[in-house]
Amino acid sequence: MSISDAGKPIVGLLSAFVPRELLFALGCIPVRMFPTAAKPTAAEAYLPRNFCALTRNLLASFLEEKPPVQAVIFTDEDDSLRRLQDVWAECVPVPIWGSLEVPRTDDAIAIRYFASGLTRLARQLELHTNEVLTARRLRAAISLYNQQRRLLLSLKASWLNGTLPTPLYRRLCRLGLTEHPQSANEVLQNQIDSLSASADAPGVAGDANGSAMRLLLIAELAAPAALVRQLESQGARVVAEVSDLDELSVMQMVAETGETVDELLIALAEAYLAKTPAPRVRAPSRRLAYLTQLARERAVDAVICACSKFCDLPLAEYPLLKADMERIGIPVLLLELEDETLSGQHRTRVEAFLETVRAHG
Amino acid sequence: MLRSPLGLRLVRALLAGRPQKPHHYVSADFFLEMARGAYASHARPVVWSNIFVPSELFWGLGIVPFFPETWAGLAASMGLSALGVSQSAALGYPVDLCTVHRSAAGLWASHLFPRMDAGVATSHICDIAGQMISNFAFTEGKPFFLLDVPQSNDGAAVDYVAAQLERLIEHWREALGISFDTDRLREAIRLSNQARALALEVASLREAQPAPLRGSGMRDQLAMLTAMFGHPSGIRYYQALRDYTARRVADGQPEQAHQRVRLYWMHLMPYFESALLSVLEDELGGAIAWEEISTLWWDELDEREPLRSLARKIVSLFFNGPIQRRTEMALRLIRRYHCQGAIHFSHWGCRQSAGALYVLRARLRREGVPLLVLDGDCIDPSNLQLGPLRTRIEAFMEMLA
Repeated sequence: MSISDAGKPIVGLLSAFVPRELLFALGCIPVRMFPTAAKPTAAEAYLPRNFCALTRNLLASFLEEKPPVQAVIFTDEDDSLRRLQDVWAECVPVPIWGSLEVPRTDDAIAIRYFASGLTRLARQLELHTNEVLTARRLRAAISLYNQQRRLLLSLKASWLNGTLPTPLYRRLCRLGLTEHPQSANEVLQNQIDSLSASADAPGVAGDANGSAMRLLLIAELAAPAALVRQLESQGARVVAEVSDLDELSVMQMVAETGETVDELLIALAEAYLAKTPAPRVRAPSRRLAYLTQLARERAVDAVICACSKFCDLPLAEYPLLKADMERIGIPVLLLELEDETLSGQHRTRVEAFLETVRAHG
Repeated sequence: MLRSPLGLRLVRALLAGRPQKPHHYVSADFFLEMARGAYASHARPVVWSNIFVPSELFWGLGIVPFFPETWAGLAASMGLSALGVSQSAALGYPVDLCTVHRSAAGLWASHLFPRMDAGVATSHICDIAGQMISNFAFTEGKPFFLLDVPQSNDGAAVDYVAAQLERLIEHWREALGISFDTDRLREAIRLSNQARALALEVASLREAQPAPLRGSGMRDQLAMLTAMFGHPSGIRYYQALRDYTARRVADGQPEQAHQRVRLYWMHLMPYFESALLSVLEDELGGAIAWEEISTLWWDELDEREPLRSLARKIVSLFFNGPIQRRTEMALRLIRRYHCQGAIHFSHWGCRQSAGALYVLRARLRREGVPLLVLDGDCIDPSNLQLGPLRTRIEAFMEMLA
């Protein structure tokens, strides 16, 4: 974190469903946790070896690297996070300040239930921070994160039109999730200004002629940077990433018009539950309709699913996804990854896949 | 065979010719009746479900439930798991997924499952169960309903699930054309409560020493607990099991003669023929006094509030919520059945059950209860290595004895 906000606790998030606005309004700096451990070895004393690799890597990161967070918030999103929360108290010296139940539907009943969960979370956080949640503070926090959403949408447009390289766009997305929102917004705004200043410069993403193979990546938290590097070094271009880093983040503006805390929490619940469908909602028709529409909009040539090994929900979705994409002529490659690195075998499979796609042009 | 009435009669005749206990006749008849309703008859809609949607709801609404997980276990007992697992690979399901669900997918792809009119699943444990049923429904072009179940076990969670149950019934009325008769649902609740009372009697009888029943013979209990309640067969089944158990206790004739150490068995058991349990029971004298999956976890249902009662049943499942619910239940049962140790059979790919074993082991250790974790597979015989497991069981039993 480049700008520290003196005395404010940094709270780690393990899910995209925890409204950062709520934490910020209560004097915390919410940061999304990304795995930093090279290997999940340290977690193997606590979680089975055939457990979601991403979850094991996150635990290993806390065991080995001790990220500078004062507390974490859990959600009940899937079996992996639920069991991680179980072992957390036994092995990680970072307290859990709250646990949020996240509905898998977005109807009125679910929104009310989620909003009541947000109220409970707020009460828990108030005890830890000695702050009081007010409508004014929550509205200001929502406004700040809405500003970030607008900035990121602007940067996404630049990425998609080829003026912003993929690695830089991804770094900026990550920065939005892991930095103090005010400092992140400054960096994002500076980048937009700098793009505007060089608006006459040629495209920098290497596909100005539109000939590069266009790829859709599907991952949970984020596709590994090593994979993106390999793809782009081999002449392909990532044009969409369906992961918490990009398309699965909450990009819908949260209504700032509520006058009371309860109204604002409802607005947060609506926006967070309405985010792009992920496998956890068990709605294949919605999910596949979304993915195929995205593939068409971005003129995708091929799809790569970069799933964490032993991560059930995306893996169980894969056969449907593959069948649906191939029905519209888009080939799909599944990579089951143990960590952020790519093994030689993975690299070879990626190379072979790209060659095959090109050959069938 | 299951699709024709003649085939069903043949299956019943074959089952009747095998050595059975009285309650097995009831369960065989029950599952054959379900099979007839699902495969051979079009009189009632068939809804595919994971095993934690309360069966009272199906029977009370005149729906035939079909539980792919249960039928995958049944198929494994009939030696069909290789077919299921290989066919699921052909569909593209990665091999690291749970074999119960992979096998179910393969059996479905092999057209061994009945027709599907709709799908439903709860979300609270086993992520993949609901996902697979939603996959089946999507592919078959049938409606699917997800019951979103919170981890909490409080009034708000019950209200939330009860509201969804109301919506589910409305959804089925529209999608399946069923009529909702509150009295019929109440009758299912009454039947469920009567079966529950009998099942609790069985649980009390099993406190006896020596243990009257073989634990390995109870591997089908999860199927009974999750399918029979709310159906008249539930009462007949638990009556027969209660009477059978009582006779064993009264006559001092336990099913397992050689009993040295009393054990608490956690999670599933292999559904296929395997020497694993005979080594434990017959050679080493391990008496499984109680199995986690035989535990009737819910309170008596209130017929005045049928949906809230069923919602309470859903959220109070011991697998739901933090691992402490499961560990504290384990400790209560270990004490109640005077068990000297516990065995957790970690079925390959079951993240929800095996994920927090570290906590479970630590908690049991603090209470002086040794825990043996056996990594295996309850569906795929090729993933159950008897040699190493036998060595571990022998060492564990030596320590306990």
